Amino acid sequence: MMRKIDVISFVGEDFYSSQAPEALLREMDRNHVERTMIAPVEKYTAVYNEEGNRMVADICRRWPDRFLGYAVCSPWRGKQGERELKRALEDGLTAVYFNSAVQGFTISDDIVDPLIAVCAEYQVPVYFHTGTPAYALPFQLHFLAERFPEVMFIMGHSGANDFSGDALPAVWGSPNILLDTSLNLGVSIRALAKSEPDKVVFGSAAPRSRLGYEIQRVEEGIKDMETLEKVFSGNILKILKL
Amino acid sequence: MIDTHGHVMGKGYPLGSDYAIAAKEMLEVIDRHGISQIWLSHCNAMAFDDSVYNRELYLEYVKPYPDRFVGFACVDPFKGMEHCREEIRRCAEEYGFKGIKIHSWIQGFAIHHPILYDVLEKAGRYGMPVLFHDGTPPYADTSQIAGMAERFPEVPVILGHAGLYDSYRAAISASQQLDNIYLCLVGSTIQSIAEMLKKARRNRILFGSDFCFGNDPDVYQTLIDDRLDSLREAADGEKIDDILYGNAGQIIK
Repeated sequence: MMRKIDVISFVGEDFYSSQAPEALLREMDRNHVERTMIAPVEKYTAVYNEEGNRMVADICRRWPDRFLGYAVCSPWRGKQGERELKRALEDGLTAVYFNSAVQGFTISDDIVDPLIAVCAEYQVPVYFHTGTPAYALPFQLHFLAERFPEVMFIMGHSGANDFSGDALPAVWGSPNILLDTSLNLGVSIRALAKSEPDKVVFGSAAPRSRLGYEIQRVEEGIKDMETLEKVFSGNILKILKL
Repeated sequence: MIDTHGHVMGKGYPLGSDYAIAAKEMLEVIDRHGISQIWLSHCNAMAFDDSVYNRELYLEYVKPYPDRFVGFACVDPFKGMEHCREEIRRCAEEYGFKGIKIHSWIQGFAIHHPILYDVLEKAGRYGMPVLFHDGTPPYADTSQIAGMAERFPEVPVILGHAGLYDSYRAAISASQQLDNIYLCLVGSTIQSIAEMLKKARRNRILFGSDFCFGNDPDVYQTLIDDRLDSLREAADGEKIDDILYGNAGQIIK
């Protein structure tokens, strides 16, 4: 059985979507997913950063072999936000998740630089949701990644839907951006993996999508077993400290 | 003053318009505002036929008034790479056009495509700046255009609207990170212009009006004043001669 690591799934209860860790674990078992990187649902990303970080850290402590946790933090919080991000990373979270469309900033805006500097200091990967104009686009991530070559970024959803065509041009000259498969059709995943087999990582974005559905899209797009292994686990394992 | 972002609009553009501005009429308006030169592309060349309307721009504007009207060529990538190459050659060598205008949302294509890369390469060969409409996703987002500028560092790339309302901060960061990005202040709010004046590279900021936006004679009377007013409000008494003409003079000498 090929190892699978899901780079993005969400936990917690929200206005629009909810997923309990127990339910996610059942889905992971059913689909043979070894580990999942989890971020808190939107309300925590947008407003209740600390509560979300504590919830995710607790889940990771309860199932340390199955979950890795993203910390969330709004750049609008300034110094207070930097302190919270450091606290969350010292509390066991191992990556940082941003959704600038929800948090209200443009990815390439230097308002986020102090938080990315914290990520550099703690040497953790940074996931950015992309695909939502005007605040969360692949080329915006390109310019942020250019400012922080020491940080590894994950381009969430690789620009899906309207900006899928920008995903590959936006990683041109950016060795520090990985491309997340979530929310993409097989045909798009095929194009990503064909061009950048060492940069594509599997994500489900559950519960926005379904884990099994997203695995099928990857298997539909990538027929080469070596590339499939890289996408399902090999590429992300290179940057995770497991 | 140099207005770096202007258009000719013929009948049919924008949709339903039955008006067509004449060169003498445009001269009267820019004279009244103290504009010595305006950089022009033909909107009908973007929307209908590049070859026909690039030629009209040449015959009616650039040829009779070469010191006042500077031609920017439009190309239709749907006609293929060879067509674009020939159109650029004709505009540069026969018409004396100085730049290229790309309006990818009106023209309906994503810019990161080999045909557009070839257009930029040819622009570099002819020493032509490329003025992009920007600030309008999904086809004309500011960061997409900045990504294009990064691939062709020898080509001056003008963000025709400096990010408009939502993406001006992406325009600022692009101007800080790339040496060939220019911000044309057309349609920005006063606050965002003020922020750009503080944070963007000063020698990369250009004045533009988007004249004759709307293709309506009533708008002609106020459009340039509206743009100048917002710039002067944002500058708050600071000298802006570099923005009104100096910086543009560094791109097209």
